[in-house]
Amino acid sequence: MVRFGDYALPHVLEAQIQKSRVEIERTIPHRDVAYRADQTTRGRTVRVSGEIRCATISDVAFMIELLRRLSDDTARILDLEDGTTSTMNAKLTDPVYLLDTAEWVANDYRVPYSVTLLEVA
Amino acid sequence: LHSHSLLLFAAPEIEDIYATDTLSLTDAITDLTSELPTTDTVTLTDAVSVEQILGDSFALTEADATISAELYPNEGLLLVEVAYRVQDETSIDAVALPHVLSLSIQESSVVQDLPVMDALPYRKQRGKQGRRFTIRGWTDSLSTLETLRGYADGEKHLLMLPTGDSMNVHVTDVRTPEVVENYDVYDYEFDALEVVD
Repeated sequence: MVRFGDYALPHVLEAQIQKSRVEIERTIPHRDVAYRADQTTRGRTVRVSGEIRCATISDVAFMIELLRRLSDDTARILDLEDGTTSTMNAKLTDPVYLLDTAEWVANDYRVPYSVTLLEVA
Repeated sequence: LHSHSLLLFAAPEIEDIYATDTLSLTDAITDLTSELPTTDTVTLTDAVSVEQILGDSFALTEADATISAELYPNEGLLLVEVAYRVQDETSIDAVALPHVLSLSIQESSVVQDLPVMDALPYRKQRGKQGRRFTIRGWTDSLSTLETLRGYADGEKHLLMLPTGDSMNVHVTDVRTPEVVENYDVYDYEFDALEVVD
């Protein structure tokens, strides 16, 4: 279970962690390799995708709204609870979700979603 | 349209739910009406989880009447407000869209991202761009396709989602690919951008 602050993200299926650094790069004439120097970290970016699975459309609407409200520029503790990744402070942004109405059946409404979590200090 | 609204509060740690409501009573003989305020308190266990809170909150919304529920958390409060008029139907300007297959919705944020030497970056959310919709479906009517193209007119249109959520949108791009082998089935796909009321 992936926890973000005091909330558990619903039915997480995949968590992709990207760690990148800021690299200064200057090409040099007639040189095979450019001048490259490491500057600093860009912080981790975690892309979490999963499914909202609810029995009623009202519950679906509530969970979607909850995800949207969590994108409020507030840093919360992200815990992937995978036993290896340490917790980090992160902000949730860019929720994306798909209302796949053609696949909806009564009492089983599924909404694939993904959110991006940006590590902050 | 069926009118229904609900107001929900969710919080991580909740011990009591204090709900108030008003019952309207009418005497069938004298035809006199009186309002009777009612209150109720529900006590939850200390180890309540978010899912339980959400479930309990929605249990309050099954009644026909509008119910206001107030939750008193120990720490932190996240307000979630859901108001809907009709569900399980996608419509634009109160006209139901035919055979909607999927709605892709994304809500991007504008994030200022500044690297800091030997430290984690400074990341600040400066705002949101509003929701972007891509709606796919099909119809068996060519005139419906023409109607859909007509929505890309630069004007505001009221889009209602199957979840009951609604907002004003600009329809920016309507695509109607015609596949010769699919006789009498005309696919459509259009993009819409949320705009302020």
